[in-house]
Amino acid sequence: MADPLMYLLDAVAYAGIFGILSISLNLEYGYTNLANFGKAAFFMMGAYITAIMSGLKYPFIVNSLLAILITSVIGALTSLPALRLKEDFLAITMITLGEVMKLIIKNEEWLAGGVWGISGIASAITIPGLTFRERLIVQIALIYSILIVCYFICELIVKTPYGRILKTIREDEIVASTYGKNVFKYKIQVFTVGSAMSGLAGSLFAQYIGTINPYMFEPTVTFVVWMMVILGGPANNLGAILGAFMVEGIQRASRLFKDYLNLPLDPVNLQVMFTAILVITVIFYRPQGLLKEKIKPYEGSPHKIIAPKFMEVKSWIRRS
Amino acid sequence: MDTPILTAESLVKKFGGLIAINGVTLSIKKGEMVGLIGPNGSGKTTLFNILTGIYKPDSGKVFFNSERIDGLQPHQIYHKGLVRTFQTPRILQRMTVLDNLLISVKNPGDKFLPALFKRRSWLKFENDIRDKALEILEFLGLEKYCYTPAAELSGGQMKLLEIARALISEPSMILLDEPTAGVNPVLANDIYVKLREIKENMDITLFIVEHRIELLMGYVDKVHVMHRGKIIAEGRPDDVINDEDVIKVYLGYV
Repeated sequence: MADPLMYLLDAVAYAGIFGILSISLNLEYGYTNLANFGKAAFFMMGAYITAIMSGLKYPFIVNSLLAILITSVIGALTSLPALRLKEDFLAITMITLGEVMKLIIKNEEWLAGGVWGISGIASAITIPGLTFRERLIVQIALIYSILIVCYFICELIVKTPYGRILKTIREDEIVASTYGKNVFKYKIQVFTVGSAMSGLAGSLFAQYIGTINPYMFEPTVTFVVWMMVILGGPANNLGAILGAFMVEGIQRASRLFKDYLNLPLDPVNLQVMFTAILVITVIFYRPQGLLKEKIKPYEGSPHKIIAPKFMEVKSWIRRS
Repeated sequence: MDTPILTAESLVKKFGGLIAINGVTLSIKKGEMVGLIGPNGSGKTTLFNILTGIYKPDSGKVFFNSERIDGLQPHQIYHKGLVRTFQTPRILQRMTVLDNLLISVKNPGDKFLPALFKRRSWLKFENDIRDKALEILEFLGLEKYCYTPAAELSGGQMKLLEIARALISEPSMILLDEPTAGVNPVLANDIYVKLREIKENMDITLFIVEHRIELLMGYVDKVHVMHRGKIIAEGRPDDVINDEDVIKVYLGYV
Protein backbone atom coordinates (compact mmCIF):
# COMPACT_ATOMS: atom_id res chain seq x y z
CA MET A 1 0.00 0.00 0.00
CA ALA A 2 1.49 3.17 -1.11
CA ASP A 3 -0.98 5.44 0.57
CA PRO A 4 -1.17 4.86 4.32
CA LEU A 5 -4.43 6.77 4.53
CA MET A 6 -6.02 4.37 2.06
CA TYR A 7 -4.83 1.48 4.14
CA LEU A 8 -6.39 3.07 7.20
CA LEU A 9 -9.67 3.76 5.42
CA ASP A 10 -9.78 0.20 4.17
CA ALA A 11 -9.23 -1.04 7.72
CA VAL A 12 -12.02 1.20 8.97
CA ALA A 13 -14.39 -0.16 6.34
CA TYR A 14 -13.48 -3.73 7.25
CA ALA A 15 -13.95 -3.00 10.92
CA GLY A 16 -17.43 -1.69 10.13
CA ILE A 17 -18.42 -4.81 8.21
CA PHE A 18 -17.03 -7.06 10.90
CA GLY A 19 -18.67 -4.86 13.49
CA ILE A 20 -22.05 -5.88 12.06
CA LEU A 21 -21.05 -9.54 12.26
CA SER A 22 -19.79 -9.02 15.76
CA ILE A 23 -23.02 -7.36 16.91
CA SER A 24 -25.04 -10.18 15.43
CA LEU A 25 -22.91 -12.77 17.20
CA ASN A 26 -23.22 -10.77 20.38
CA LEU A 27 -26.99 -11.01 20.13
CA GLU A 28 -26.71 -14.77 19.73
CA TYR A 29 -23.87 -15.58 22.06
CA GLY A 30 -23.62 -12.63 24.43
CA TYR A 31 -27.30 -12.35 25.16
CA THR A 32 -28.74 -15.77 24.43
CA ASN A 33 -25.72 -18.04 24.86
CA LEU A 34 -26.08 -19.60 21.44
CA ALA A 35 -22.64 -20.75 20.33
CA ASN A 36 -23.05 -19.98 16.66
CA PHE A 37 -19.85 -20.96 14.93
CA GLY A 38 -21.47 -20.67 11.54
CA LYS A 39 -20.98 -16.96 11.07
CA ALA A 40 -18.81 -17.52 8.00
CA ALA A 41 -21.59 -19.53 6.34
CA PHE A 42 -24.17 -16.78 6.57
CA PHE A 43 -21.60 -14.13 5.77
CA MET A 44 -20.71 -16.07 2.64
CA MET A 45 -24.32 -16.60 1.67
CA GLY A 46 -24.99 -12.89 1.90
CA ALA A 47 -21.93 -12.10 -0.17
CA TYR A 48 -22.68 -14.65 -2.86
CA ILE A 49 -26.32 -13.71 -3.17
CA THR A 50 -25.28 -10.12 -3.69
CA ALA A 51 -22.61 -11.11 -6.17
CA ILE A 52 -24.91 -13.31 -8.23
CA MET A 53 -27.72 -10.77 -8.21
CA SER A 54 -25.30 -8.02 -9.11
CA GLY A 55 -24.27 -10.09 -12.13
CA LEU A 56 -27.92 -10.05 -13.14
CA LYS A 57 -27.80 -6.24 -12.96
CA TYR A 58 -30.02 -5.77 -9.96
CA PRO A 59 -29.36 -2.74 -7.76
CA PHE A 60 -27.71 -3.15 -4.36
CA ILE A 61 -30.83 -2.40 -2.38
CA VAL A 62 -32.62 -5.37 -3.98
CA ASN A 63 -29.57 -7.58 -3.57
CA SER A 64 -29.09 -6.80 0.08
CA LEU A 65 -32.76 -7.24 0.90
CA LEU A 66 -32.73 -10.57 -0.88
CA ALA A 67 -29.56 -11.51 1.00
CA ILE A 68 -31.26 -10.66 4.29
CA LEU A 69 -34.36 -12.61 3.32
CA ILE A 70 -32.58 -15.73 2.13
CA THR A 71 -30.04 -15.86 4.95
CA SER A 72 -32.76 -15.41 7.54
CA VAL A 73 -34.84 -18.20 5.99
CA ILE A 74 -31.82 -20.49 5.81
CA GLY A 75 -30.89 -19.47 9.34
CA ALA A 76 -34.35 -20.37 10.59
CA LEU A 77 -34.33 -23.68 8.71
CA THR A 78 -30.89 -24.74 9.96
CA SER A 79 -31.75 -23.68 13.48
CA LEU A 80 -34.75 -26.00 13.59
CA PRO A 81 -32.64 -29.13 13.97
CA ALA A 82 -29.41 -27.48 15.15
CA LEU A 83 -30.80 -25.58 18.13
CA ARG A 84 -31.96 -28.77 19.76
CA LEU A 85 -28.31 -29.51 20.37
CA LYS A 86 -26.31 -28.46 23.37
CA GLU A 87 -23.75 -25.72 23.10
CA ASP A 88 -20.65 -27.57 21.90
CA PHE A 89 -22.53 -29.81 19.50
CA LEU A 90 -24.26 -26.79 18.07
CA ALA A 91 -20.85 -25.20 17.53
CA ILE A 92 -19.54 -28.19 15.60
CA THR A 93 -22.70 -28.42 13.53
CA MET A 94 -22.46 -24.79 12.59
CA ILE A 95 -18.79 -25.03 11.61
CA THR A 96 -19.75 -27.94 9.39
CA LEU A 97 -22.52 -25.93 7.84
CA GLY A 98 -19.99 -23.27 6.86
CA GLU A 99 -17.64 -25.83 5.36
CA VAL A 100 -20.41 -27.56 3.43
CA MET A 101 -21.62 -24.27 2.03
CA LYS A 102 -18.08 -23.45 0.96
CA LEU A 103 -17.66 -26.84 -0.74
CA ILE A 104 -20.91 -26.39 -2.60
CA ILE A 105 -19.82 -23.00 -3.87
CA LYS A 106 -16.39 -24.36 -4.83
CA ASN A 107 -17.78 -27.26 -6.79
CA GLU A 108 -20.76 -25.71 -8.50
CA GLU A 109 -19.16 -23.58 -11.13
CA TRP A 110 -22.38 -22.72 -12.93
CA LEU A 111 -23.71 -21.15 -9.77
CA ALA A 112 -20.94 -18.96 -8.49
CA GLY A 113 -17.80 -19.39 -10.52
CA GLY A 114 -16.39 -22.24 -8.44
CA VAL A 115 -12.96 -21.62 -6.99
CA TRP A 116 -12.47 -18.53 -9.14
CA GLY A 117 -15.33 -16.77 -7.47
CA ILE A 118 -17.20 -13.82 -8.86
CA SER A 119 -15.65 -10.54 -9.82
CA GLY A 120 -16.95 -7.23 -11.05
CA ILE A 121 -19.58 -6.85 -8.36
CA ALA A 122 -21.08 -3.40 -8.70
CA SER A 123 -20.66 -1.23 -5.63
CA ALA A 124 -23.76 0.05 -3.92
CA ILE A 125 -23.28 3.71 -4.58
CA THR A 126 -21.69 4.76 -7.84
CA ILE A 127 -21.12 8.46 -8.16
CA PRO A 128 -19.22 9.22 -11.34
CA GLY A 129 -16.07 11.32 -11.21
CA LEU A 130 -14.88 10.40 -7.74
CA THR A 131 -11.33 9.46 -6.92
CA PHE A 132 -10.62 6.11 -5.36
CA ARG A 133 -10.15 7.66 -1.95
CA GLU A 134 -13.46 9.53 -2.14
CA ARG A 135 -15.20 6.36 -3.16
CA LEU A 136 -13.76 4.68 -0.09
CA ILE A 137 -15.18 7.41 2.08
CA VAL A 138 -18.61 6.97 0.51
CA GLN A 139 -18.34 3.25 1.18
CA ILE A 140 -17.42 3.88 4.79
CA ALA A 141 -20.40 6.19 5.18
CA LEU A 142 -22.69 3.46 3.81
CA ILE A 143 -21.20 0.71 5.96
CA TYR A 144 -21.29 2.75 9.13
CA SER A 145 -24.82 3.93 8.64
CA ILE A 146 -25.87 0.29 8.36
CA LEU A 147 -23.72 -0.59 11.35
CA ILE A 148 -25.45 2.09 13.39
CA VAL A 149 -28.87 0.85 12.33
CA CYS A 150 -27.90 -2.69 13.33
CA TYR A 151 -26.57 -1.42 16.62
CA PHE A 152 -29.80 0.34 17.44
CA ILE A 153 -31.89 -2.64 16.43
CA CYS A 154 -29.89 -4.86 18.77
CA GLU A 155 -30.00 -2.33 21.59
CA LEU A 156 -33.74 -2.04 21.11
CA ILE A 157 -34.17 -5.80 21.20
CA VAL A 158 -32.17 -6.36 24.35
CA LYS A 159 -33.72 -3.50 26.28
CA THR A 160 -37.24 -4.87 26.13
CA PRO A 161 -38.88 -7.65 28.13
CA TYR A 162 -38.02 -9.78 25.12
CA GLY A 163 -34.34 -9.10 25.68
CA ARG A 164 -34.77 -9.94 29.33
CA ILE A 165 -36.05 -13.36 28.34
CA LEU A 166 -33.04 -13.84 26.10
CA LYS A 167 -30.83 -13.18 29.11
CA THR A 168 -32.92 -15.59 31.15
CA ILE A 169 -32.26 -18.25 28.54
CA ARG A 170 -28.57 -17.43 28.70
CA GLU A 171 -28.50 -17.73 32.48
CA ASP A 172 -30.68 -20.78 32.88
CA GLU A 173 -32.78 -22.46 30.24
CA ILE A 174 -34.69 -24.53 32.75
CA VAL A 175 -35.81 -21.46 34.65
CA ALA A 176 -36.89 -19.85 31.41
CA SER A 177 -39.02 -22.81 30.46
CA THR A 178 -40.39 -23.35 33.97
CA TYR A 179 -41.59 -19.79 33.93
CA GLY A 180 -43.48 -20.20 30.70
CA LYS A 181 -41.02 -19.18 28.03
CA ASN A 182 -40.82 -21.29 24.93
CA VAL A 183 -37.04 -21.42 24.85
CA PHE A 184 -36.83 -23.07 21.46
CA LYS A 185 -38.95 -20.40 19.83
CA TYR A 186 -36.84 -17.60 21.25
CA LYS A 187 -33.67 -19.29 20.11
CA ILE A 188 -34.96 -19.66 16.57
CA GLN A 189 -35.97 -16.02 16.46
CA VAL A 190 -32.60 -14.84 17.70
CA PHE A 191 -30.81 -17.13 15.32
CA THR A 192 -32.88 -15.81 12.44
CA VAL A 193 -32.17 -12.19 13.30
CA GLY A 194 -28.47 -12.97 13.74
CA SER A 195 -28.30 -14.77 10.41
CA ALA A 196 -30.07 -11.93 8.65
CA MET A 197 -27.54 -9.46 10.02
CA SER A 198 -24.66 -11.67 8.97
CA GLY A 199 -26.18 -11.90 5.50
CA LEU A 200 -26.39 -8.13 5.37
CA ALA A 201 -22.74 -7.87 6.40
CA GLY A 202 -21.84 -10.32 3.64
CA SER A 203 -23.79 -8.28 1.17
CA LEU A 204 -21.90 -5.14 2.17
CA PHE A 205 -18.64 -7.02 1.99
CA ALA A 206 -19.27 -8.24 -1.56
CA GLN A 207 -20.18 -4.85 -2.92
CA TYR A 208 -17.26 -3.29 -1.06
CA ILE A 209 -14.44 -5.43 -2.37
CA GLY A 210 -16.02 -6.25 -5.73
CA THR A 211 -14.48 -9.70 -6.06
CA ILE A 212 -15.23 -12.70 -3.93
CA ASN A 213 -14.08 -16.28 -3.92
CA PRO A 214 -14.70 -19.20 -1.57
CA TYR A 215 -11.31 -18.82 0.12
CA MET A 216 -12.41 -15.58 1.71
CA PHE A 217 -14.91 -17.45 3.85
CA GLU A 218 -12.74 -19.91 5.70
CA PRO A 219 -13.78 -20.82 9.28
CA THR A 220 -11.21 -18.24 10.40
CA VAL A 221 -13.80 -15.58 9.64
CA THR A 222 -16.01 -17.11 12.31
CA PHE A 223 -13.19 -17.25 14.81
CA VAL A 224 -12.19 -13.68 14.15
CA VAL A 225 -15.75 -12.58 14.87
CA TRP A 226 -15.74 -14.64 18.07
CA MET A 227 -12.52 -12.98 19.09
CA MET A 228 -14.11 -9.60 18.57
CA VAL A 229 -17.05 -10.42 20.80
CA ILE A 230 -14.96 -12.01 23.53
CA LEU A 231 -12.44 -9.18 23.56
CA GLY A 232 -14.97 -6.41 23.40
CA GLY A 233 -17.31 -7.85 25.97
CA PRO A 234 -20.17 -10.28 25.46
CA ALA A 235 -23.61 -8.82 26.13
CA ASN A 236 -22.43 -5.32 25.41
CA ASN A 237 -23.12 -4.08 21.89
CA LEU A 238 -20.66 -1.21 22.09
CA GLY A 239 -18.11 -3.70 23.33
CA ALA A 240 -18.73 -5.90 20.31
CA ILE A 241 -18.03 -2.97 18.00
CA LEU A 242 -14.96 -2.01 20.03
CA GLY A 243 -13.78 -5.60 19.71
CA ALA A 244 -14.18 -5.42 15.94
CA PHE A 245 -12.02 -2.31 15.85
CA MET A 246 -9.39 -3.84 18.09
CA VAL A 247 -9.04 -7.11 16.26
CA GLU A 248 -9.03 -5.43 12.89
CA GLY A 249 -6.55 -2.85 14.17
CA ILE A 250 -4.20 -5.48 15.57
CA GLN A 251 -4.31 -7.50 12.39
CA ARG A 252 -3.57 -4.51 10.24
CA ALA A 253 -0.93 -3.08 12.51
CA SER A 254 0.92 -6.35 12.87
CA ARG A 255 0.83 -6.69 9.09
CA LEU A 256 2.46 -3.28 8.81
CA PHE A 257 5.01 -3.67 11.54
CA LYS A 258 6.22 -7.08 10.61
CA ASP A 259 8.20 -5.42 7.80
CA TYR A 260 10.09 -3.30 10.27
CA LEU A 261 10.87 -5.99 12.79
CA ASN A 262 13.85 -8.26 12.56
CA LEU A 263 12.82 -11.36 14.38
CA PRO A 264 14.12 -14.88 14.14
CA LEU A 265 10.70 -16.17 13.20
CA ASP A 266 8.37 -15.95 10.29
CA PRO A 267 6.70 -12.55 10.55
CA VAL A 268 3.44 -14.00 9.25
CA ASN A 269 3.17 -16.03 12.43
CA LEU A 270 3.73 -12.94 14.49
CA GLN A 271 0.29 -11.61 13.64
CA VAL A 272 -1.38 -14.79 14.74
CA MET A 273 0.66 -15.04 17.91
CA PHE A 274 0.07 -11.45 18.83
CA THR A 275 -3.70 -11.80 18.50
CA ALA A 276 -3.64 -15.03 20.47
CA ILE A 277 -1.65 -13.46 23.29
CA LEU A 278 -4.06 -10.55 23.42
CA VAL A 279 -7.11 -12.80 23.58
CA ILE A 280 -5.58 -14.96 26.30
CA THR A 281 -4.56 -11.93 28.33
CA VAL A 282 -8.02 -10.44 28.15
CA ILE A 283 -9.70 -13.71 29.06
CA PHE A 284 -7.31 -14.11 31.97
CA TYR A 285 -7.52 -10.70 33.49
CA ARG A 286 -10.88 -9.49 32.30
CA PRO A 287 -13.16 -12.42 31.47
CA GLN A 288 -16.13 -10.12 30.98
CA GLY A 289 -14.36 -8.41 28.08
CA LEU A 290 -13.14 -4.85 27.85
CA LEU A 291 -16.60 -3.37 28.19
CA LYS A 292 -18.56 -5.20 30.84
CA GLU A 293 -22.17 -6.07 30.57
CA LYS A 294 -24.24 -3.46 32.34
CA ILE A 295 -26.46 -5.14 34.85
CA LYS A 296 -29.00 -2.46 35.55
CA PRO A 297 -32.69 -1.78 35.30
CA TYR A 298 -33.58 -0.75 31.81
CA GLU A 299 -35.35 2.35 30.74
CA GLY A 300 -38.78 3.24 31.96
CA SER A 301 -38.03 2.27 35.52
CA PRO A 302 -39.15 5.06 37.80
CA HIS A 303 -37.57 3.72 40.94
CA LYS A 304 -34.89 6.28 41.51
CA ILE A 305 -35.88 6.37 45.18
CA ILE A 306 -34.31 3.04 45.91
CA ALA A 307 -31.09 3.75 44.09
CA PRO A 308 -29.29 5.46 47.03
CA LYS A 309 -30.26 2.58 49.30
CA PHE A 310 -28.74 0.23 46.82
CA MET A 311 -25.45 2.08 47.04
CA GLU A 312 -25.51 1.71 50.80
CA VAL A 313 -26.07 -1.97 50.53
CA LYS A 314 -23.23 -2.43 48.13
CA SER A 315 -20.77 -0.80 50.49
CA TRP A 316 -22.16 -2.88 53.29
CA ILE A 317 -21.52 -6.04 51.32
CA ARG A 318 -17.93 -5.00 50.77
CA ARG A 319 -17.34 -4.33 54.44
CA SER A 320 -18.55 -7.70 55.62
CA MET B 1 -63.04 -26.69 47.68
CA ASP B 2 -63.04 -30.42 47.34
CA THR B 3 -62.21 -30.71 43.69
CA PRO B 4 -58.70 -32.03 43.13
CA ILE B 5 -56.41 -29.56 41.39
CA LEU B 6 -53.48 -31.90 40.86
CA THR B 7 -53.75 -35.64 40.47
CA ALA B 8 -50.98 -38.08 39.75
CA GLU B 9 -51.82 -41.63 38.81
CA SER B 10 -49.28 -44.41 39.28
CA LEU B 11 -46.28 -42.45 38.08
CA VAL B 12 -43.12 -44.39 37.31
CA LYS B 13 -39.74 -42.94 36.43
CA LYS B 14 -36.57 -44.94 35.99
CA PHE B 15 -33.02 -43.73 35.52
CA GLY B 16 -31.21 -46.73 34.15
CA GLY B 17 -31.60 -49.37 36.82
CA LEU B 18 -32.72 -46.93 39.48
CA ILE B 19 -36.42 -46.66 39.96
CA ALA B 20 -36.70 -43.12 41.22
CA ILE B 21 -40.47 -42.96 41.26
CA ASN B 22 -42.24 -46.24 41.75
CA GLY B 23 -45.97 -45.90 41.32
CA VAL B 24 -46.80 -42.62 42.98
CA THR B 25 -50.47 -41.80 43.16
CA LEU B 26 -51.58 -38.66 44.87
CA SER B 27 -54.31 -36.11 44.72
CA ILE B 28 -54.21 -32.57 45.99
CA LYS B 29 -57.37 -30.61 46.54
CA LYS B 30 -57.83 -27.04 45.47
CA GLY B 31 -56.77 -24.51 48.10
CA GLU B 32 -54.89 -27.00 50.23
CA MET B 33 -51.46 -26.55 51.65
CA VAL B 34 -49.79 -29.92 51.41
CA GLY B 35 -46.39 -31.05 52.59
CA LEU B 36 -44.16 -33.70 51.09
CA ILE B 37 -41.51 -35.20 53.34
CA GLY B 38 -39.16 -38.10 53.09
CA PRO B 39 -35.52 -39.07 53.42
CA ASN B 40 -32.92 -37.77 51.00
CA GLY B 41 -33.03 -39.53 47.69
CA SER B 42 -36.58 -40.69 48.13
CA GLY B 43 -37.68 -39.06 44.88
CA LYS B 44 -39.33 -35.84 46.05
CA THR B 45 -37.53 -33.59 43.65
CA THR B 46 -37.87 -36.09 40.84
CA LEU B 47 -41.59 -36.08 41.46
CA PHE B 48 -41.59 -32.29 41.18
CA ASN B 49 -39.62 -32.51 37.98
CA ILE B 50 -42.18 -34.86 36.52
CA LEU B 51 -45.12 -32.75 37.63
CA THR B 52 -43.64 -29.65 36.01
CA GLY B 53 -42.65 -31.36 32.79
CA ILE B 54 -38.87 -31.27 33.16
CA TYR B 55 -38.87 -35.09 33.09
CA LYS B 56 -41.34 -37.23 31.26
CA PRO B 57 -42.72 -40.10 33.33
CA ASP B 58 -42.10 -43.61 31.99
CA SER B 59 -45.69 -44.41 32.76
CA GLY B 60 -48.58 -42.90 34.63
CA LYS B 61 -50.67 -39.81 34.22
CA VAL B 62 -50.74 -36.32 35.67
CA PHE B 63 -53.88 -34.24 35.69
CA PHE B 64 -53.99 -30.57 36.51
CA ASN B 65 -57.44 -28.99 36.73
CA SER B 66 -58.67 -32.21 35.07
CA GLU B 67 -56.41 -31.63 32.08
CA ARG B 68 -53.72 -34.11 31.29
CA ILE B 69 -50.34 -32.42 31.59
CA ASP B 70 -47.81 -35.22 31.49
CA GLY B 71 -45.86 -35.02 28.24
CA LEU B 72 -46.34 -31.28 27.96
CA GLN B 73 -43.35 -28.97 27.82
CA PRO B 74 -42.52 -27.05 31.02
CA HIS B 75 -43.57 -23.74 29.51
CA GLN B 76 -46.95 -25.15 28.54
CA ILE B 77 -47.48 -26.39 32.06
CA TYR B 78 -46.63 -22.93 33.38
CA HIS B 79 -49.40 -21.46 31.27
CA LYS B 80 -51.85 -23.88 32.86
CA GLY B 81 -51.00 -22.22 36.17
CA LEU B 82 -48.48 -24.56 37.79
CA VAL B 83 -45.09 -23.20 38.79
CA ARG B 84 -42.29 -24.47 40.97
CA THR B 85 -39.17 -23.37 42.79
CA PHE B 86 -35.90 -25.22 42.85
CA GLN B 87 -34.09 -26.84 45.70
CA THR B 88 -30.69 -25.43 44.78
CA PRO B 89 -31.60 -21.89 43.88
CA ARG B 90 -31.56 -21.36 40.15
CA ILE B 91 -31.27 -17.63 40.04
CA LEU B 92 -30.28 -15.61 37.02
CA GLN B 93 -26.86 -14.45 38.12
CA ARG B 94 -26.10 -11.70 35.68
CA MET B 95 -29.46 -10.00 36.02
CA THR B 96 -30.77 -7.68 38.68
CA VAL B 97 -32.89 -9.08 41.48
CA LEU B 98 -35.87 -7.18 40.13
CA ASP B 99 -35.40 -8.64 36.66
CA ASN B 100 -35.20 -12.07 38.23
CA LEU B 101 -38.73 -11.52 39.40
CA LEU B 102 -40.10 -9.82 36.33
CA ILE B 103 -39.21 -12.63 33.95
CA SER B 104 -41.75 -14.90 35.53
CA VAL B 105 -44.74 -12.76 34.58
CA LYS B 106 -46.60 -12.98 31.31
CA ASN B 107 -45.69 -9.68 29.72
CA PRO B 108 -47.08 -8.19 26.50
CA GLY B 109 -43.48 -7.40 25.57
CA ASP B 110 -42.43 -11.03 25.69
CA LYS B 111 -43.04 -11.52 22.00
CA PHE B 112 -40.64 -10.24 19.41
CA LEU B 113 -42.77 -7.83 17.40
CA PRO B 114 -44.82 -6.35 20.25
CA ALA B 115 -41.58 -5.82 22.18
CA LEU B 116 -40.25 -3.67 19.39
CA PHE B 117 -43.36 -1.95 18.11
CA LYS B 118 -45.79 -1.80 20.99
CA ARG B 119 -43.55 -0.21 23.55
CA ARG B 120 -46.33 1.70 25.20
CA SER B 121 -48.30 -1.41 26.08
CA TRP B 122 -45.44 -3.19 27.80
CA LEU B 123 -44.00 -0.11 29.44
CA LYS B 124 -47.31 0.45 31.16
CA PHE B 125 -47.49 -3.18 32.16
CA GLU B 126 -43.94 -3.02 33.51
CA ASN B 127 -44.81 -0.05 35.66
CA ASP B 128 -47.71 -1.86 37.24
CA ILE B 129 -45.94 -5.13 37.76
CA ARG B 130 -42.85 -3.46 39.20
CA ASP B 131 -44.79 -2.15 42.17
CA LYS B 132 -46.03 -5.61 42.88
CA ALA B 133 -42.53 -7.00 42.52
CA LEU B 134 -41.19 -4.48 45.01
CA GLU B 135 -43.97 -5.33 47.40
CA ILE B 136 -43.00 -8.99 47.31
CA LEU B 137 -39.33 -8.15 47.65
CA GLU B 138 -40.09 -5.95 50.60
CA PHE B 139 -41.92 -8.75 52.36
CA LEU B 140 -38.97 -11.06 51.89
CA GLY B 141 -36.55 -8.34 52.94
CA LEU B 142 -34.90 -8.07 49.55
CA GLU B 143 -36.11 -4.66 48.43
CA LYS B 144 -32.75 -3.06 49.13
CA TYR B 145 -31.16 -5.38 46.66
CA CYS B 146 -33.59 -4.87 43.84
CA TYR B 147 -30.97 -3.44 41.51
CA THR B 148 -28.14 -5.67 42.68
CA PRO B 149 -26.94 -8.38 40.31
CA ALA B 150 -28.48 -11.52 41.72
CA ALA B 151 -25.08 -13.22 41.86
CA GLU B 152 -24.16 -10.96 44.79
CA LEU B 153 -26.92 -12.30 47.02
CA SER B 154 -26.19 -14.77 49.77
CA GLY B 155 -27.41 -18.34 49.56
CA GLY B 156 -30.42 -17.72 51.77
CA GLN B 157 -31.37 -14.61 49.88
CA MET B 158 -31.23 -16.55 46.64
CA LYS B 159 -33.66 -18.98 48.18
CA LEU B 160 -36.00 -16.12 49.01
CA LEU B 161 -35.68 -14.80 45.51
CA GLU B 162 -36.84 -18.16 44.20
CA ILE B 163 -39.98 -17.92 46.29
CA ALA B 164 -40.57 -14.33 45.24
CA ARG B 165 -40.31 -15.37 41.63
CA ALA B 166 -42.91 -18.07 42.07
CA LEU B 167 -45.25 -15.77 43.97
CA ILE B 168 -45.31 -12.96 41.47
CA SER B 169 -46.54 -15.06 38.60
CA GLU B 170 -49.87 -15.63 40.38
CA PRO B 171 -50.28 -19.28 39.55
CA SER B 172 -53.09 -21.46 40.80
CA MET B 173 -50.57 -23.85 42.34
CA ILE B 174 -46.95 -23.59 43.46
CA LEU B 175 -44.63 -26.50 44.07
CA LEU B 176 -42.04 -25.35 46.59
CA ASP B 177 -38.87 -27.39 46.85
CA GLU B 178 -37.49 -26.75 50.34
CA PRO B 179 -38.45 -23.10 50.58
CA THR B 180 -36.62 -22.58 53.86
CA ALA B 181 -33.35 -24.41 53.28
CA GLY B 182 -30.57 -22.05 54.30
CA VAL B 183 -32.94 -19.45 55.68
CA ASN B 184 -32.68 -18.30 59.28
CA PRO B 185 -35.32 -19.71 61.66
CA VAL B 186 -37.21 -16.46 62.22
CA LEU B 187 -37.51 -15.76 58.55
CA ALA B 188 -38.36 -19.39 57.86
CA ASN B 189 -41.30 -19.02 60.19
CA ASP B 190 -42.25 -15.75 58.51
CA ILE B 191 -42.16 -17.47 55.16
CA TYR B 192 -44.61 -20.07 56.34
CA VAL B 193 -46.88 -17.43 57.81
CA LYS B 194 -46.80 -15.65 54.49
CA LEU B 195 -47.34 -18.85 52.53
CA ARG B 196 -50.36 -19.58 54.66
CA GLU B 197 -51.57 -16.06 54.05
CA ILE B 198 -51.07 -16.46 50.33
CA LYS B 199 -52.90 -19.72 50.37
CA GLU B 200 -55.87 -18.23 52.16
CA ASN B 201 -56.10 -14.86 50.43
CA MET B 202 -55.02 -15.63 46.92
CA ASP B 203 -56.46 -19.10 46.69
CA ILE B 204 -53.19 -20.68 45.64
CA THR B 205 -52.63 -24.34 46.29
CA LEU B 206 -49.23 -25.11 47.76
CA PHE B 207 -47.27 -28.33 47.64
CA ILE B 208 -44.13 -28.13 49.74
CA VAL B 209 -41.09 -30.32 50.10
CA GLU B 210 -39.59 -29.60 53.48
CA HIS B 211 -37.15 -31.05 55.97
CA ARG B 212 -38.06 -28.74 58.85
CA ILE B 213 -40.75 -31.03 60.09
CA GLU B 214 -41.85 -29.05 63.18
CA LEU B 215 -42.31 -25.97 61.07
CA LEU B 216 -44.10 -27.72 58.25
CA MET B 217 -46.46 -29.64 60.50
CA GLY B 218 -47.70 -26.45 62.08
CA TYR B 219 -48.93 -24.98 58.86
CA VAL B 220 -49.95 -27.64 56.38
CA ASP B 221 -53.32 -29.32 56.02
CA LYS B 222 -51.98 -32.63 54.88
CA VAL B 223 -48.67 -34.42 54.53
CA HIS B 224 -47.41 -37.06 52.13
CA VAL B 225 -44.39 -39.12 53.06
CA MET B 226 -42.19 -40.58 50.37
CA HIS B 227 -39.71 -43.39 50.70
CA ARG B 228 -37.84 -45.11 47.88
CA GLY B 229 -40.08 -43.66 45.20
CA LYS B 230 -43.32 -44.56 46.93
CA ILE B 231 -45.80 -42.71 49.06
CA ILE B 232 -45.75 -44.63 52.29
CA ALA B 233 -48.10 -42.48 54.29
CA GLU B 234 -50.44 -39.59 53.86
CA GLY B 235 -52.87 -37.77 56.02
CA ARG B 236 -53.19 -35.06 58.63
CA PRO B 237 -49.87 -33.97 60.17
CA ASP B 238 -50.69 -35.40 63.59
CA ASP B 239 -51.53 -38.79 62.18
CA VAL B 240 -48.46 -38.92 59.99
CA ILE B 241 -46.10 -37.99 62.80
CA ASN B 242 -47.33 -40.96 64.77
CA ASP B 243 -47.27 -43.38 61.85
CA GLU B 244 -44.87 -46.25 62.59
CA ASP B 245 -43.46 -46.52 59.09
CA VAL B 246 -42.76 -42.83 58.94
CA ILE B 247 -40.97 -42.87 62.25
CA LYS B 248 -38.91 -45.80 61.08
CA VAL B 249 -37.71 -44.39 57.76
CA TYR B 250 -37.63 -40.72 58.38
CA LEU B 251 -38.25 -39.27 61.77
CA GLY B 252 -36.27 -41.78 63.75
CA TYR B 253 -37.14 -43.04 67.20
CA VAL B 254 -37.62 -40.10 69.46
